[in-house]
Amino acid sequence: MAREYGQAGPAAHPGFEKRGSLWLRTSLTLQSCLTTFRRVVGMPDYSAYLEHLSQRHPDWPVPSEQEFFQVYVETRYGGGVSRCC
Amino acid sequence: MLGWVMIAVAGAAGWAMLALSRGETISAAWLVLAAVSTYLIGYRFYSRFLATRVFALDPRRATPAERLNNGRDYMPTGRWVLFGHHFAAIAGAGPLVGPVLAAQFGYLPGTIWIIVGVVLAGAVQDFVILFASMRRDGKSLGQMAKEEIGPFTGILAMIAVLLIMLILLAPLALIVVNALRSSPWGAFTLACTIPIAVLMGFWMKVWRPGRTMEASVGGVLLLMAALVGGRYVAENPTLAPLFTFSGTTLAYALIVYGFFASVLPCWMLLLPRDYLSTFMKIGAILLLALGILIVLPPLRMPALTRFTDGTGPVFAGGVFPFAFITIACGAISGFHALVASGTTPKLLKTEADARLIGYGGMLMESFVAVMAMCAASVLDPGVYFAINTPLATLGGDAAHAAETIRQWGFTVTPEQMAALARSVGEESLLSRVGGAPSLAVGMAQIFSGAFGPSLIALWYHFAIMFEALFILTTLDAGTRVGRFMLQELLGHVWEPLGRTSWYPSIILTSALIVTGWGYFLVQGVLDPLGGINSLWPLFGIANQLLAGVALSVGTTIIIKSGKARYAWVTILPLAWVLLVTLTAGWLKITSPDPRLGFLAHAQDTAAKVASGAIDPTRGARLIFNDRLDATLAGLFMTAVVLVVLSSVREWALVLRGRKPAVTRETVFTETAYGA
Repeated sequence: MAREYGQAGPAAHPGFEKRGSLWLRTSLTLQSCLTTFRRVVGMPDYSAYLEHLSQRHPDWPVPSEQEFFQVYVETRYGGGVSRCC
Repeated sequence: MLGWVMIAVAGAAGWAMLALSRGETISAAWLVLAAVSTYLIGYRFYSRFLATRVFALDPRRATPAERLNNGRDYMPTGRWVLFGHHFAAIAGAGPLVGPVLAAQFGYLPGTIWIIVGVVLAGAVQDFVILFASMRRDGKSLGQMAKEEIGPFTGILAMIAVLLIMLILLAPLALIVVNALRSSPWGAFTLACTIPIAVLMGFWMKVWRPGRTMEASVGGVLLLMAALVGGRYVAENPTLAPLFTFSGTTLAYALIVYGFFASVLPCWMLLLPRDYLSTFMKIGAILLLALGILIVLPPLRMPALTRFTDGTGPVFAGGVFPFAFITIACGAISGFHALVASGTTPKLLKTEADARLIGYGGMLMESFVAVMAMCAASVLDPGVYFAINTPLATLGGDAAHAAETIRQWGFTVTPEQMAALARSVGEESLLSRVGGAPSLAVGMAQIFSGAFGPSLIALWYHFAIMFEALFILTTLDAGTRVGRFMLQELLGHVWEPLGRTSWYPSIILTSALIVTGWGYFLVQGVLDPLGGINSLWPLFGIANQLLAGVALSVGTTIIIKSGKARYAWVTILPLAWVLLVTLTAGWLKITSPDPRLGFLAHAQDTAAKVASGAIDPTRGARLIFNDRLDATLAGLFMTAVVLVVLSSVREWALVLRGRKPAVTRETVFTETAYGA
């Protein structure tokens, strides 16, 4: 099922189970830090969205990263209060 | 269990030290101890009671994020990530400025309200609204008011939100103006944030789409460079005058900026600025907490000052009700209800997370307010009053100021103020009202105590820059949201005006919104009493009244879901908030004291015009503003009283069995997470 966003799951990173090289572990940590950061500032994760599409709506068109970003900005600031005093 | 007893004992010790020490300075450690233990106990016991008994959070019930998952605005999000996101959305300049202003009563009244208020009122409000919205697919406060109470209440709530938005932006902008007036260092740094944000926007949108992290890290580095560069600008005789602005110039610059921020596409200015300010916000708050914990500075401000009687120079009015109005965010903030019924409920992974995010997130904001109170109280009281008292009260120059402050029973010398201003790289710190400069001096003292004294000027400007950055982000976002609301309203009059992407309508409505808050801003700058004096209480009243609307909606939902026996959890804070705000509003309108009452001030001005003490055109403007402020306060109060009355009517109908106790909750769906 839909995995929790903000974590790098094994599916996205083949070889994760091996926990082999230091390089791999560092890059995974870095990647999950990046995703966490993006989610804190309120930006959805592009690769997670692609995964969501492939699981739920395999027949839908896949947006480019730029299109994805565009739609996100519109929904985020298209109305409603996102920031407080 | 033993652990909880120890926490309770520690908290009691903290409170005892705060309450019982008179005359001697105590360490900020006691304040932090009292706060943290009270939060822990409140979170562990009270929020658990709310979660299990009152709301009956059900981990087996699928959240909107799971059911409506679209991978974008609805999606299950890890609880700590969402906590960070929610906290960044609710915390802004409000919890930093309010406590600094309320420190004129001494640290005790504000501290009690911040800590007790959050546990029993503020965090409850955020939690109940987050819960209610989560059970209704993320509906907004206005929509919930409409569905649960009635369409009239819904419309009233929406108009109240728009009015409050306008009145909120003016005092915030005024804080920035006062902090940057004749400060080339500060003005240069803040001016740099605009090109930096645009650069980040192009990076994320055009050059490297979606590379948020790269852009943000780059942005923060550039910002630090601008901060360091500001010193060079301030010390350079040709560059410094270019960045030395009067209050009026800064006010008009902010108005023009707000207009462009609302008209330009959001990726260019609003979004990158939002990222930059989130980054700075979390960083600076962690740094401040670390600084306070390392230094554990003594609180030089007394627990209570003589100004609890209402004669205080920072703002007029006694400790009741004005301490509870001045500290709006940090104890309870109606604005949070808009965030808690906005993006956050659409991201909760399980229902149980609502407790940590709704209740816990607000405790965190309260802690920010406690730290701001510490930062204001580490200053010498004489220095605090020299910075925060309007020029008209203080007297012409530093010698007069020192004499005025001496008469209040505090000591400060002109040399001390001059040396302090020099050490932070400013020309003067006298009458820099608005709270930001005194907070920045306090923070700079704490930071330089913790991380070395050589950089005090840099720390001061760092603090000013991060406050100004928050405020500009609120200004951008607020103007844009106000524009959308206005477009929606005007769309009913003439359809094309409602199109959010039609440029003539965008330009017209943006101009109307910036003129709205810009008017109050300019009047605030021209006000001889510094403007904060009249604008901040108006903002506090508006914000707390919005909390009244939120708590009414919350109570209605609790009663309608058959939990009337627990309805006191929202009725008690509602009663308190109404008592405080309606008293304050009434005093601001009708008090015979011209320092306090808007109408009395208008009469006083009229008398001065008649006797020739005030120029007639200026007098007419002041009188018009007083009447406008009084009308606004009256409008807010009427709107909220109507909302509360219509809610009470609804409660009575349900309780007497005349109306079925049914809410508009979405139906139960079992979660697939296997809880």
